Amino acid sequence: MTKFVVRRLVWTIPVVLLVILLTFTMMKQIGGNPFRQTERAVPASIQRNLERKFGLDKPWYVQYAQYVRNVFTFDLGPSMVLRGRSVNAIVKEQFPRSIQLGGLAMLFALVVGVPLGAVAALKQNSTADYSAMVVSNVGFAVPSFLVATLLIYFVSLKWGLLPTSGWATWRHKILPPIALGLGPMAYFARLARGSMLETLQQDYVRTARAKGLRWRRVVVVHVLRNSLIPVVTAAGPFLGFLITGSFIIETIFAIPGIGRYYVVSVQARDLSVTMGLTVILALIIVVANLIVDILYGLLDPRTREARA
Amino acid sequence: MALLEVKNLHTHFFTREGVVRAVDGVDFELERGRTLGIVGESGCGKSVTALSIMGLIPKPPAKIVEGQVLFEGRDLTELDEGELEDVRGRHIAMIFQDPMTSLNPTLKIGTQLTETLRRHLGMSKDAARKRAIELLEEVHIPNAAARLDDYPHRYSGGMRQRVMIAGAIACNPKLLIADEPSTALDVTVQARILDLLEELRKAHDMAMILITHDMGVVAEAADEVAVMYAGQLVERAGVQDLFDRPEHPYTEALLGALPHVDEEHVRESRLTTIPGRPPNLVDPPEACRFGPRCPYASLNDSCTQVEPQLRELRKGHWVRSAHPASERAGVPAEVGA
Amino acid sequence: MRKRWLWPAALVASLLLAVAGCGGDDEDGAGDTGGETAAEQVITVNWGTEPPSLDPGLASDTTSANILLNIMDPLVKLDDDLEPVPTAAESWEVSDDGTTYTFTLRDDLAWTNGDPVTAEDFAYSWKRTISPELGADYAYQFFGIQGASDYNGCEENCDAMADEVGVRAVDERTLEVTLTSPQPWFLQQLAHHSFLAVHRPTVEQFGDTWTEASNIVTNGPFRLARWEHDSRIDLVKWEEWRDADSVTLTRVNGRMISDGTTAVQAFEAGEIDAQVGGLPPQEMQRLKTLPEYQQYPALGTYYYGFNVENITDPNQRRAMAVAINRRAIIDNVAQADQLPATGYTPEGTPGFDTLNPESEWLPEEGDIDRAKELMDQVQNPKTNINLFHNDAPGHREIAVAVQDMWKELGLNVTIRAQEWAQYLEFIGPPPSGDVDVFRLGWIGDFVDAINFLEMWTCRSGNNSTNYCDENYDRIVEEVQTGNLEEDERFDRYAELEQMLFGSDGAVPLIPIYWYTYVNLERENIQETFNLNLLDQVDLTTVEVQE
Repeated sequence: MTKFVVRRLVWTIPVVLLVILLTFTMMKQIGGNPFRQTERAVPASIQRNLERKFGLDKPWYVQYAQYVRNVFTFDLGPSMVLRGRSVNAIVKEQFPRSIQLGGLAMLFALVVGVPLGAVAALKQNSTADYSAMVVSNVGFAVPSFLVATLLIYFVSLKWGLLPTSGWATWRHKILPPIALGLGPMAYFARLARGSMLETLQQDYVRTARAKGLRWRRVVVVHVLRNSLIPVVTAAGPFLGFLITGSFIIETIFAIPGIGRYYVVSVQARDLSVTMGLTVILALIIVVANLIVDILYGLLDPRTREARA
Repeated sequence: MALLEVKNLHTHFFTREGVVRAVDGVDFELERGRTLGIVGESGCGKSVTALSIMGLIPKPPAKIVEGQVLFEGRDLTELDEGELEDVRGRHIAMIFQDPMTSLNPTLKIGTQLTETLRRHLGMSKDAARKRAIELLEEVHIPNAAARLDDYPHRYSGGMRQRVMIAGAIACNPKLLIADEPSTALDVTVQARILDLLEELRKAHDMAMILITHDMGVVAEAADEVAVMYAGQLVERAGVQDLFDRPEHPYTEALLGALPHVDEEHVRESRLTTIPGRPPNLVDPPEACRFGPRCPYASLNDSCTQVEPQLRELRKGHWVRSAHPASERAGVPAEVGA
Repeated sequence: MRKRWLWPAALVASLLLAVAGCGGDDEDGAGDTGGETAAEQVITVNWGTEPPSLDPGLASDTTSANILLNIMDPLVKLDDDLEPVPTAAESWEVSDDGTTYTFTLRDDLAWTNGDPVTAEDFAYSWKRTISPELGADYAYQFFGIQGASDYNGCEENCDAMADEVGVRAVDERTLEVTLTSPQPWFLQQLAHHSFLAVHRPTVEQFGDTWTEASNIVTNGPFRLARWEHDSRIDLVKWEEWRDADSVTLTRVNGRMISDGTTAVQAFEAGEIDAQVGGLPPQEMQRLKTLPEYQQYPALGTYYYGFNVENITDPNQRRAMAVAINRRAIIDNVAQADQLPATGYTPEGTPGFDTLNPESEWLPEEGDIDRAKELMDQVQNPKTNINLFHNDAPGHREIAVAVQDMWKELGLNVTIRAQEWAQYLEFIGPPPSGDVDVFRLGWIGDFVDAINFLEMWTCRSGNNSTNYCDENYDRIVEEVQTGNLEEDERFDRYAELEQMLFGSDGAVPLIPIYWYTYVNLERENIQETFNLNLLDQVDLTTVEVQE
């Protein structure tokens, strides 16, 4: 198992280099001036000053080398637009919030989605099954920003139960994860249902029942555990998506994470922030996938042994 | 009183396409310590019969619409799921056809054995583990103690079937139902498994129902034979009597279809087959279900109008036919109908 | 059996830890709901966006400006008539030739750490902003000062050039500024936040992070109590400020909700007391009916610029200008009671009555017939028009309305929306060849028409129209260097506007309307919470009523 993990971690390095290269190339392609944020033109001398200050006057390969060096020394440089703040500082302050948001959304998606799907599977074709799947379909189809706005409108505004925006207290941390996790929740519910239905058909479930084991044990030990494997496999990339894809939710709920600023940094052409955040987010996806693979190995002993 | 009495069992599947009458009239008894072989072609309802006895049919869409399953005098069809769970594995055990898929691939073999022991006999973890080792030894698995912690994928097909058997006899059931236990195995392994079953049956004084489509297996292992066709029991007799003097046209055809290796010109002769197909079990006709394929059906039109009832032709030999062999006065067979 | 629960449990536990543990919870403390009674003078303002920087040298947006002008003491402020009034500067003298200003600072100016504020602070700060190393966007505001432009553009020997810059502290309380030419609007300019002083020891100690709440040292009526990036920025009254008695508010909490819909919802839920701008256009109809809706005139013009190298005939340009029904656009699309533009420089600018041309080319309700007449006079009209705009809310709707109006002139208009940074590259200057008409706005840096009119000189970096007239440039230069009396200046401004929009006007652009600022303000602060023409609110005058 350790060898497996180490091998995967070593592979991260070429991935990171590729990410840096691609991001750098794309940012250079789309052009734009990070120092002109409003319609006011920047006088030529000031433009020159700024380019010199941020190293943009050097040839592209020197700039690229600088970024690679930045990443590997963990010093991602200063922001070109948020003057006076370093990318490291931005990440340190704001990133944990995005992780919290993504983590809570994932928790919600799993804790609500998997049981929903399981109940639907166990009571196939009953009212419970149909209502669960309707809820799931709605959750899947309705875009997250609409859910967010509706939640704020009803829960915060009309009923005054929770705050409309921000991320300060536990009360703030209820609506945004729900809005963000609703789609994945629906997906997990469907997945869990399908997986469980399939597992329920398996011969070994029939064997377990034939042995007279209590149904609850059959479901929990024999059915659920094996049904979780596809869910876990799907969960990994989702975790990455949740953390990186939280831009809309962060904007609507005014959550000071990095998802929001990530998109803004591209629009503003804040090269250093874009580069730094892209690398970090790529790393998150790598780590999330690694975690999933580890979990997979724990759940399915056949995979575990194949890896050793 | 017989250990198991199946009376007029009808199990139907209520699907969108219609009602599939998978088991539509099965009656038999089984005494302690005896082996009943149930034979018939695929789809005749033998597995559904076994599952009905165990109460393992999928409750929607299937339902036991009529009949009784009396085990030690208790009607299993009247029990709720919890009571059935107490019976299964403890008093009646079942093993299935495909050992490759019948074990949970993510649980250790040991766990899959001890869970039965702990459930029904309330054993502690250590006691159950010890007993599990004994069981594995009983089914001749070498190095039992070490192999307890292996996962199923480390076992061959034959070994897995042995494990299944070990799990089945763990609580000393009075009845073991084996649904095609050797079909999915190599020919060489088949014989060994059947021997093992016989060995255990004797040792634990179990009754056994052996479901198969292989007449040869039945000849070897069964005390009594029940022949099923299209969801119905069509003939039942002691094994010797069945093979010596089969009564039902279907049974005759089955036996006739067996390759006779000791005959001359066996290489040139073709295997006899029964022309035609079994009827669709959704809305079968009110008639003899074998009629369309029966060589004797044309003689008497009652075959196309009335469903023949099961009757005891001679002692211990039951037939569901209008034209059992004994009643046909030397009329030659006409193929087709 | 037991082990099987470990892994899902561990997963759930770690996720829960992520919830509870990292990413510090901060208390949303008391005073959030704003002052309900006059006894509690605390308000919550939603500024909308995170200020990119609170360094006066680097701040370039309105949120930063608003915060800075309330935590620092500028030399002058603008009163309700937009006249400069003494603030940190007690008095000043202007030399006869109009190029030397001598400011006398008050004797009770202090930094929050106790140090006195001296003239040297101002000199140091201004030179710092002008310096090439800082890379200040607004350095150009200082180019009216002698030696500033050279210093800013210097490549070597910069320290020597720094000494040549025309600002020096004569003594502790006297600041002398030497300009390159007489600039009557110079005092107006000093109200801009880039002219604020910074505390040198703090800057030198902390470098880039000197503006963090834990490091910053200020000298104004409020202190920066808390700044959580992208989340909140809170100000508290500084009790030791020289004029603290005149300040009623004790605390101003600041939020940064950038989504307009959420902001309005937060306002309606009672979480904020003032929403500064950012109202979503689709809700304007409804919001206008609320008692909390407040509107202010703004010093800004929304215009469509021509690429005069593509649309070369002035009659076509005039026709296109005349065809636009401003009233319809304001009432039905923009919906914030903006003022239909009758010239370029907006109302409210000193001298407006003199300089405004009341252009015949900018009729309030448009005049299609006249427009068609003008089009007929055009030899080779350009009939396929590319109309560019940036993809922010509201612009598309206006473009569609204009497209409709121009269709009647037989013009085939293609609307092209672009993302902001891309857009800026496109319009340059010089604008890309594809650009026929582009949308832009201009908000004044300070309150004088020159800030609007000097844009249209040949070499102005803000002139994306390719319009170039040496005469125009000459008049602008006259104003910038000529030491004219006020009425002479206003006359020149009028001339410039005539050159653009008079009967022989070149019409290189079509001003559509003059902006307004729209806010939502709780009724108990409406009276005193006001925006001036430059989108600034003076928190020292705000009071929460009963």
